[in-house]
Amino acid sequence: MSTKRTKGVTIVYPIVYGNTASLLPQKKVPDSDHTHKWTVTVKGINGQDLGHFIKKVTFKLHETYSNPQRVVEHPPFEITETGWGEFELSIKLQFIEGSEKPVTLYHNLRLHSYEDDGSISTSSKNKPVQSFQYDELVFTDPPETLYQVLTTQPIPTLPSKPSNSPYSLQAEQDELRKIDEAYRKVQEQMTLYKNRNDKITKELEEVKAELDRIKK
Amino acid sequence: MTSNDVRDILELHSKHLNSTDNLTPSKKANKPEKEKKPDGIPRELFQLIGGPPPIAFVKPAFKAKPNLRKKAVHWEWQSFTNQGRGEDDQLTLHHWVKCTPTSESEDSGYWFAEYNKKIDILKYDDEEYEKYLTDKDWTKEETDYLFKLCDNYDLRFTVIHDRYEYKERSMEDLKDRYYSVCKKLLQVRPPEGSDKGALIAMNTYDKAKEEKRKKHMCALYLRSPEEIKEEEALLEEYERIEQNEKKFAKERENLLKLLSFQELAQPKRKKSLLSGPTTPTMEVGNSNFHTSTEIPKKNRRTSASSVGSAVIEVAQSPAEVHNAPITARKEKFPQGVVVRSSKIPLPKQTMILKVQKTLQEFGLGPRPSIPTETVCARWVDLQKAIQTLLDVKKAVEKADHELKAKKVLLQKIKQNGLGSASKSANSGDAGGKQSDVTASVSGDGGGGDESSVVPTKRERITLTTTPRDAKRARK
Repeated sequence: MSTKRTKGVTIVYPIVYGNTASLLPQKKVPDSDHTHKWTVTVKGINGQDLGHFIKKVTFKLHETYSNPQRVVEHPPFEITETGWGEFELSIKLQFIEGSEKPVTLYHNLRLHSYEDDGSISTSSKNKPVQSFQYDELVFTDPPETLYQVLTTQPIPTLPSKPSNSPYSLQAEQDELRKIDEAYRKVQEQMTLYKNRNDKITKELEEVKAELDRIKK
Repeated sequence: MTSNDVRDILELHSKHLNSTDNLTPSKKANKPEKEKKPDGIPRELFQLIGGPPPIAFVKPAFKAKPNLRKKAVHWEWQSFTNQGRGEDDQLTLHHWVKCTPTSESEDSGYWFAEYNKKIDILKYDDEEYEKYLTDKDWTKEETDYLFKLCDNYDLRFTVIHDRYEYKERSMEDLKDRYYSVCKKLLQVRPPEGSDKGALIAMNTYDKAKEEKRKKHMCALYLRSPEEIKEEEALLEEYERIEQNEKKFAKERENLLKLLSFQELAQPKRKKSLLSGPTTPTMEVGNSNFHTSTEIPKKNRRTSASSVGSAVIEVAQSPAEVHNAPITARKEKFPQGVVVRSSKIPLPKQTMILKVQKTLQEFGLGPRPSIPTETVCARWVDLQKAIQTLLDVKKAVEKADHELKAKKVLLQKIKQNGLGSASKSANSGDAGGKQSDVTASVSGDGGGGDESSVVPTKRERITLTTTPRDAKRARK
């Protein structure tokens, strides 16, 4: 391709994607069995638009929807629909630079609020249900156009404290801490088992030696 | 079919109308027809099938015509002597001989005489005896006697041993003496035309080995059927173990490698900690797990904001070569755009569930909730560590099992005492040449313990099967 790639450069752009869902008031359209209204969005972490480097977003909904392939070519990249069931939908991002392959994100549409153990919460909460996922788009050796766009426009950074979005530096730290804790425990267990293994191999050798002696 | 039915069919009238002279013969005729019906089958069925068929003997019809062409052969009563007998023996015997036109009337020798083979055993003279063949256990007299017997009985040692009337000697003793004498004689006599080396080799006799072998043979012959079954089952097990042995050895090796690799990985990370504070603007190696790294991280963030809030990492700076494993990870992303969470390597198919479960125990879901670079890197490490831990766990359990089994074995042997254990070991060994086979196989590496398991397991089983065996063991 004629587009040059900026070698040795990696640009990371954090995004948030997911859906909100709210219960429809029953009065309105009784003949349809749609119980919820939901919106699927792809945005930057502070709600920024991604229009400067994303050309279009294709949302692939469940086949029971008419035109399950919904294409959105200008920000905001979101789809609002009504429905009754939860399903997995795919979000394909295509970049302004055609040579870059589109990336696909997968999201499980969430309509009902769940308890911690995964069961559906029966208490009627009027608050809308939210299900979002943080992720990062990693541009390795981006071509010229993307490079230009991404370096001129400010890339959002994680806020240090959680505000309206749950994703923040602090959350990251929490996660890291959890992971480290887990890692430490795993290492501990590992050393325990290693010691056990050493002990057992030693004993095994002794017993083997004795058996050999007796055999002779 | 009764007679009435027959009459009906033939349209004869009832027999009561006939004269009475017919009654008695017809009655008599009837009776044998009425067969007694056997009890097992219903009457109607019996009348249908008619009971067992009558047995018929048929004489073979074919008679071969006797071959009567030839005339009677003339036989003659002849006398003969057997050349196979000694010369001093003049016994004349007689037998019938067929008179054919071609036969020689004089006996050309008893034709079985050629089968009277005689073995030419070596003979020594007194001089040779004095020089080479003296033995503390054998006098010259006895040796001469032995050789005479050998000559007489054509080296049939069972016979010789039976007729031996000098001293109380076992057959192995006699054989040993005879063959050692022959060997010595062959060695010292001048070489003959034929292959001397081969002759000497033929005359080597290992007394101890022979005794052992015969003992084994006896024990083998006297095995009970249970013992035979046990031995076969054990052989099967042994073969299976041999086959799987290589697999187990490989797995064990891999595990050890993994473990040592983990240890290697740790010190590497410690090194990068040193390089951390010196490169605030660079992406610090996320390899250490101490909170002191937060400082360089914060630096990264602030510097990032200063560079137009773009987190741009220039790879392969000299400082980062320290953190080789980490930059390598960065560089692994192919050209183009990639979603970070999709790049987390999944564990092996079999392990996925277990790893997930372990992560759950730590309060973490199947994916990191905030997949930034650091988080992802640590996540991958954690996953790998969990996998290795699970592998090590498995290996340890296996080794533990093995150890327990062997310990039980050892205990049982010790319980029965070393003496009876060796006795039963012999009886176990005498289960054919299998013990020799196992002994020779145990020459190579890991087979040793398996082979030692086989005979000892045999002992353990034989010792505890029957009270008779237990008694035998106790003796």
